[in-house]
Amino acid sequence: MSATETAAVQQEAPPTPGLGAPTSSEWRVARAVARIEARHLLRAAIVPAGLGLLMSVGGGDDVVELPSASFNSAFNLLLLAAVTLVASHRAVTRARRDGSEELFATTAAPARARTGGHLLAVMVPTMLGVVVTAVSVAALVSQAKPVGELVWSELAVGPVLVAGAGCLGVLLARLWPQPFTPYLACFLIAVAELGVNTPVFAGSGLRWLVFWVEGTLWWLLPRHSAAHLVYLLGLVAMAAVGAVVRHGLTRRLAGVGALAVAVTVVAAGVQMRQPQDHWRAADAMFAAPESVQRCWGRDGVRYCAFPRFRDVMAHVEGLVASVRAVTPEEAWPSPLAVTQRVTALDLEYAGPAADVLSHVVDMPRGRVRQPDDGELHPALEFGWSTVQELGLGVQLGAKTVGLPVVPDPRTGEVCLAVGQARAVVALWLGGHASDDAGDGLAWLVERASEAPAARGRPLHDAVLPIADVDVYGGFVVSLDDARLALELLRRDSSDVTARLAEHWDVVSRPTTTSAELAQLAGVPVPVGGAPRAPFVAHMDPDLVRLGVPCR
Amino acid sequence: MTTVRFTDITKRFATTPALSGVTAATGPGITGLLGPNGAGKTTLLRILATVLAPDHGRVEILGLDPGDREERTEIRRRLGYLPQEAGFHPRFTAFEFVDYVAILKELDDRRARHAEVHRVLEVVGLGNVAGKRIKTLSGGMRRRLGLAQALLARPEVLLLDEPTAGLDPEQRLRFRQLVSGEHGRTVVLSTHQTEDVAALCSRVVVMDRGAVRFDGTPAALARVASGRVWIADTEASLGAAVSWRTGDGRVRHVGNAPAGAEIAAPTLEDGYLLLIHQNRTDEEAA
Repeated sequence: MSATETAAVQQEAPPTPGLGAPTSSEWRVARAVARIEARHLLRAAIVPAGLGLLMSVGGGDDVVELPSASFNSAFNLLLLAAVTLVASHRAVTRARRDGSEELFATTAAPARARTGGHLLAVMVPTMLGVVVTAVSVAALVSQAKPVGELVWSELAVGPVLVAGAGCLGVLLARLWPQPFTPYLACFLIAVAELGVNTPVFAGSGLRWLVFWVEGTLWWLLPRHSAAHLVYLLGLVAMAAVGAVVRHGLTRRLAGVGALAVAVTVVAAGVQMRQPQDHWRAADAMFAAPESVQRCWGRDGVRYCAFPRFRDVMAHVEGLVASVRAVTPEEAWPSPLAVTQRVTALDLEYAGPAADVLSHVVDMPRGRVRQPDDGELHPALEFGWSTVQELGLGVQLGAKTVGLPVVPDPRTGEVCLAVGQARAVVALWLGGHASDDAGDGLAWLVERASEAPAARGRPLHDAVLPIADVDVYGGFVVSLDDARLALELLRRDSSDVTARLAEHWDVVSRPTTTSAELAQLAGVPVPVGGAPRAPFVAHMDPDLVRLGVPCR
Repeated sequence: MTTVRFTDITKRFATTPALSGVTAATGPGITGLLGPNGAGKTTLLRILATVLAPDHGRVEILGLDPGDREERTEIRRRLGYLPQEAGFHPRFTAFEFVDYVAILKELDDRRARHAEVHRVLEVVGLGNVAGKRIKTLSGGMRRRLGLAQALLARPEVLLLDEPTAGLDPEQRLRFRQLVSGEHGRTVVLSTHQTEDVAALCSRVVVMDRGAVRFDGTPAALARVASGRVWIADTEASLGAAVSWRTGDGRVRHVGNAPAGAEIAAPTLEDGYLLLIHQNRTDEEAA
């Protein structure tokens, strides 16, 4: 067949009735085609779905924040969505690619029925997306303590993305059947996604028009989840209607298409307007946190939380109780207040979401420090790192043994507690906050040990940027001190607790060295030997210049 | 009874004429469309299969007009078509592909459809490879698979474009057995193979350069060369339309007699070759 003839066949093949409402036979054909096409889509989708599942069940932290898990669940399905887009496009263009269009054109079923079948088949990878989302949430909840509530409209985003990708693939195949089209579409969508997730768009409502927006700070995500879901569903409907309209416009299709466009536009408008209100609320969390917080007391501790953080603070209460369980009653700080504030740590790992906040409050994240108000300030989020739990525990330990809870508010500097027994005790107490906190301390020691010239250096200086130091209180310790704390943590808790309680006056005294603490606790002195008083004499001169010893 | 009728059909592709005023009619039985490459056979079959619409002229299949949307759908329900290149999906199994076509042919009942798919696969001898992917099948098997889908739902009109192309002699024989067993329906097959026409067809239409040059029985086509087929020992013959050396070392001439030649009984192929040659000569002279 010549190229001219081929083109003529493709253009002329008179489609069997495209106008008018689909007949019952057409529906039956579409369903039967869908069954076959679904099997082929399933083969293509099973691997990316599995990868999505693997990505979602990693971790193993003590706690999982369900709001964050909900917001991020769609990320695990992005690969599945991309594969579905390509696979559905290739499925629709298969007849053209393999040269069976001529044969199919002579069958009684109209091309519209085949398109309908391809659209219906997209339900299979969509259901796969639902399964991946459900299994990943179930796995997370079974592995860790859930905090907060699931956001159902956000959980639905992932499967809807898969459905939308499939419908888009069908539409593109009907508009541009060239083989490169789906890959180009994926590329352009990825460019739009990456572009919109940069700080350039941080303050723009336009960023919510893309399908998925990165953001670990669920409380800062100003997206109106329900509106976004409706917006996505509208896009899915538009793609599906567009694919069918290629075979002829009917009054019913025109009506459905118009409704889909209207719903999409309205939902897009709603979700784009939403940030302003949400940002004002976020701004208040900085400017006047007390005005938006709710406080309560439990076991002699006063807790204050931002709206929507009640469940997170319930987890914090558990951390405080764990530390209290190993602290001598007489040493327990009183009064004690645990109050939420937006801190540097919350912004450090927030990615573009933090840029949104910076945009709102016009405040560089480096200036966001914990206030030196004598209160403890837990992280706003838990579950994606061990830092937050260890941090709160060390802050509580610092307050218990009389070390500064936060860096100097005027200079931002931390004091040097290298070689001090009470610093080791503070770390040990912090490690008791939770299993994750203990793991966090072990991780810090391991990382510091691997760092070049770690010995004699402050632990945090060897491991973390100095901006992170305030997470662990207002003091620094040496790697040897941290090793001693870790060794104490690994020993029988009740035995160490009893020994420390017996000698609490001594171990919490500023002049007691970590070597003396080791002897009192019955553990070997750390390798290299901990310095004896006065501490400054045993310090690296460079260290002394970093700050002043803790008094 | 006439089941397929086309009158004064004209079709052009851009500036190239494919069919020029083609007229013929046929009924139940096997009709062979014979002609060289570019004769317009495939274009005519595509028009009959409702893939293409003619520029001019009238087509009537089973008393229905393919130009009318509703009637075209009805024709398609009663039609089986094997295109020159069926375009199989290599990742589908044989069963899956035929099932797919069966779905598009509106065989709605799943169980009945599967039974029908198994039936046609058995008919063409592919029942044992139904579960194999098409990419693993040989060329001959694929051609039979194409025939299987055409036989779905026992169509009243069967249009086969080059059905024996690429088949080995045994497969061709099997094909002939299959098609000759399809009693009571109208079969139109396009082919280059005069042997197939001679073996199968009760009627033959010879086409060349977009026009019908002969319409009659195979015997009548053979008679076109009656008294003009010769066997000689020499190749040179100025008056021969075509000549070729046969297996026994002698030369067969179709056309005017060379010196010392013996007359031979004409075959359908001789008639066809002479017809095409005469047509070309006449056109060049005109």
